[in-house]
Amino acid sequence: MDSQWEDLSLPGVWVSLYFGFLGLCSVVTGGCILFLHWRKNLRREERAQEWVEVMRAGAFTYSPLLYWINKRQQYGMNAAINTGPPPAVIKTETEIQNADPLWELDIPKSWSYAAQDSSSKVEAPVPLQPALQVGPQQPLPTPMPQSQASSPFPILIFQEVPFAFSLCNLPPMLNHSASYPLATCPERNVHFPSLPTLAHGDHCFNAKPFASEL
Amino acid sequence: MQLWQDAMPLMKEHHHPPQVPLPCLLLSLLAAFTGVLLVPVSGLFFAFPCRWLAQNGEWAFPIVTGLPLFVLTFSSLVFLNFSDPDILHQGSNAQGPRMVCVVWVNHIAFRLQWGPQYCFHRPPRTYQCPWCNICVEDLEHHCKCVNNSIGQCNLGFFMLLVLSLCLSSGAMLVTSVVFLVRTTHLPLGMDRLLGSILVTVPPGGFLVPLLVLLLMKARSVSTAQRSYEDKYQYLQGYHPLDLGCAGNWYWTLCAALGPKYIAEAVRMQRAEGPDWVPRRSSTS
Repeated sequence: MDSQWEDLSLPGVWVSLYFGFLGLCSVVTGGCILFLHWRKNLRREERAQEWVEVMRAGAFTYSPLLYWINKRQQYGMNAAINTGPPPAVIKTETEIQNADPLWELDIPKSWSYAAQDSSSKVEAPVPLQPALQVGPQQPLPTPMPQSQASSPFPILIFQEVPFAFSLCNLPPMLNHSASYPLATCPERNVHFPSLPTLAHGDHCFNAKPFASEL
Repeated sequence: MQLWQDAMPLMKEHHHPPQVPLPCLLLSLLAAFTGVLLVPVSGLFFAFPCRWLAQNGEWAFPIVTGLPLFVLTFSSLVFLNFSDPDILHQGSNAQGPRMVCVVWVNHIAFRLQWGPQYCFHRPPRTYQCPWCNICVEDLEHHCKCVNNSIGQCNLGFFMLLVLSLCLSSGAMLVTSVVFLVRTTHLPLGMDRLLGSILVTVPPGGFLVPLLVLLLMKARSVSTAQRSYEDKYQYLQGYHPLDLGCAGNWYWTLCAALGPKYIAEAVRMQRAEGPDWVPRRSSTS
């Protein structure tokens, strides 16, 4: 048995050749990974640019929030969207929306801007529309009182800061985003045959049925 | 009062991404190094300890470590390098930044913030990955070893990669120790030196950190926590995004399997939105 183990050693030349082969494989692997990473980033930017062009062309509108909600509802989460018009628009509607005293008592003053800049000041309560907003939803020009009985969620009164956008504590954004190219990007011709790469990530998509089903 | 204050501030914003994006090549170097490291270590392992054991009738070692573990590890590594997480593309700017937008999830409100770059209110747990420069839904973290964002779409594959690396490291370690024990009577030649020490050290060094990482990620998935998010104290321990241990694992492993995002987005809007009307703009 011991002599068998000694005989199993590789000759030195084979060891050298094998090490050379391993080095070659390592170099090829590293080069392939670097190339594919470069190609992946390039492809992401191309897809994002094509997506922006499709949005500019107005083929459809989409709401990432609605997608987010629906996706979670499919897996048993109880999720819904409340949206409200800008605070300045609905200042006069405060009394109507404050009709539920129960919820007024439950809401602290800092409730609506807890995630905001701490230096923000409270201006006026902002009511919410407790309804699932589907697709594009324009701000209401004249706010309508909401029927609380028709909503599964109680109406909450948000104390919103006027003109204080919710961006004060966002992480610093980069000047150019692969998924959200700037609007100042140079215009390109919209080639709708390129939509396949948007829809499925592979090359099996036709733009016409995609648009027609909308 | 405390209840609502605890429920609201769910967004973690204190990450400080690099202001100047690093070049793509520089970010990919570590990923390339990870792949390069796997090839020679596995090559040495199969050429020396596995060959010795196989030639002496111990076929179980190369069969177990070779086909299932190495193939699984390498394929999951390649897939994780080049897979896309759930990337949210630019919205249609239909609502505007002044629209108050709150998402209710299991009776907990999330006050959403408007993102001017992507033109929509950012859903909970959706962050801009500063290294990949994309907006990722349910961002877990950015894995520098594969230079990719780990989101809900590829978190399962990340868990698979860590698990397969743990199993591979453990199997390599066991095989090398067996080889060392059975060749103690032999002099320290080239084969023994390369085949045992060089192969034993990397799996032995990586095994413990990988096991710790696997346990941490398994706990995060079980409790629906995310690394990129603060550990907020929810309503007396109530987590609105927690589906339970089994539900969280099902959500992580199975919810991501589906069509690509854009087609899915349109389909879902149509399925759940009876009032949705496609807007056809005159601009082109």
